[in-house]
Amino acid sequence: MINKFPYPNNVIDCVDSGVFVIDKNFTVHLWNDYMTIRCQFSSDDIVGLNLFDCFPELPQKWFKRKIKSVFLLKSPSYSAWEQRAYLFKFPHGRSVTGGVDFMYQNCCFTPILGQDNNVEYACITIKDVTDIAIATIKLKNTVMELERISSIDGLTQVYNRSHWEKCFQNEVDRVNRYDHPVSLLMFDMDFFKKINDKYGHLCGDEVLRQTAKRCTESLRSADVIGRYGGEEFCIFLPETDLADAAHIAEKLRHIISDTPIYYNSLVVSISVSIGFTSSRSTKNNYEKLISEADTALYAAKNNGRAQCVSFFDCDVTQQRAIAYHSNF
Amino acid sequence: MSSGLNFTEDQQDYLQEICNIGMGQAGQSLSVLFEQYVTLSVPSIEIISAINLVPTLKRLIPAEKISAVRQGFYTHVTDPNICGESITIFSNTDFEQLAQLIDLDEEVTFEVEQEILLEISNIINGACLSGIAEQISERFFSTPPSIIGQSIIIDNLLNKEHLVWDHALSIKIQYSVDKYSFQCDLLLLMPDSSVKYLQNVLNRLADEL
Repeated sequence: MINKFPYPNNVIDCVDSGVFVIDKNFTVHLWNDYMTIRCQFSSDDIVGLNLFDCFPELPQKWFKRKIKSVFLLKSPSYSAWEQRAYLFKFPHGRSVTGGVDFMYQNCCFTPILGQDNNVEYACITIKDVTDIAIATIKLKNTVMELERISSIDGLTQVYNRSHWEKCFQNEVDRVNRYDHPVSLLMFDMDFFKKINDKYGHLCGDEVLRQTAKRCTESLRSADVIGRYGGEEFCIFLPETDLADAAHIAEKLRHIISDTPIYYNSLVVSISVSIGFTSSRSTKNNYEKLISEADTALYAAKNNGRAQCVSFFDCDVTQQRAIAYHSNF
Repeated sequence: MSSGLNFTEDQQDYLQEICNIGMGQAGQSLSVLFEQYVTLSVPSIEIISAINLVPTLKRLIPAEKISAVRQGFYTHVTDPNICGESITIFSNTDFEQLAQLIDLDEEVTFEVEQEILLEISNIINGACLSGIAEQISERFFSTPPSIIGQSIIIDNLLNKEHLVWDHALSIKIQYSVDKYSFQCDLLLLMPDSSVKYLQNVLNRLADEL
């Protein structure tokens, strides 16, 4: 027969978490060593004192609400580092690698029931989750960066085709639901192959970069631009009808073409052909809209380039002929 | 009703009764806690099978965007009579109103919004579970609440989660505070064994009367 363990009270000081107990007036009744070695109060100092007098920096109102709910509902309440990084300004063990000011803490507020089954005290435990928090924050930032990279075209820093298409698809869904217009522009650099051949691919890259930059700078914040293919870009314009789209297309064509692009000591004149279309009142399909803008774009190319053409101005035979020759 | 585990009319009635009592207690507690009169509607309950969870949720919760908090509960970790996971779903949440409800004087940042969600769902969940626990003479322990998603669409609620539960007891709660009216849905997701245990308890309660 083994004797009853004689030192149960010491166990609380062996726990690798902060543990303390308060009553409903916030008078401290228990304070373990973990707490003691992280602040200037030992158990002897603080037991019998008001918690807020000793730690005036605690969020009093918040804390009181927590404790009130514990006493009232007889069930635990929690606080997590994701929403509230810390309760006590405790130092943490990663002063070099941490990059954080204080120990991240998960806290638990638990009721302690007395004889009559009413809550007499609240026990508060403080867990150090600094390592988990730092790793989680790092992971979150990495995921965000990966999401950004996977949606962006590396050369021009506008959306890549797959991400742009996803955005456009969502927009068309929204257009069908709420009956708002959306317009679509597709444009292609004229004689881009010649630029590459004459000035080199690095110059061609710079032309694409500058073109994308000129577009993003002149578009409205709701407009969404993407790189559709090699030298082909697409832009959708929410809440924009065909007439406004025509205006924007012409404006954009000038912004891109009016100033030549300077690359090292080279001066490269560029122009673009733009095809555009607009949504109907119902049953729009995003792929169909893309193919319409594409058709209009080829009509613009066919008519001699450096111009904007609306899908609604292309006649049917022209559309077919273009479809047939559409491999340039 | 789920396949295989049908609730009899009596069982349903008792379950409804237990939930009513639980919600009544929750309403009282919330009133005292928030120092405002909180009215909870009579909860409408439904047992749904986990496989049909998303389509059923879409029917039950017509809101476009929801926020959801999860929390585990169990009577014993390795050999529980009842265990499961509760999900509190908030529809079209107005955080400014909720902040007023819990008398928050801080600026309502993203983190504060999350804290409000966690706080309120922990309270509702705790009140509801302790109400049920008392009725069936069990004691529930729970894990800390965590956010599943904020302003997400219902389809994204559980598609990334591995659903280990067979059934869900869905409890629809409407609560209003003075001029504000909020709505949230509490889902108690449980495995077959827990639902069966619950049914046995319900039968016993029915026999006692």
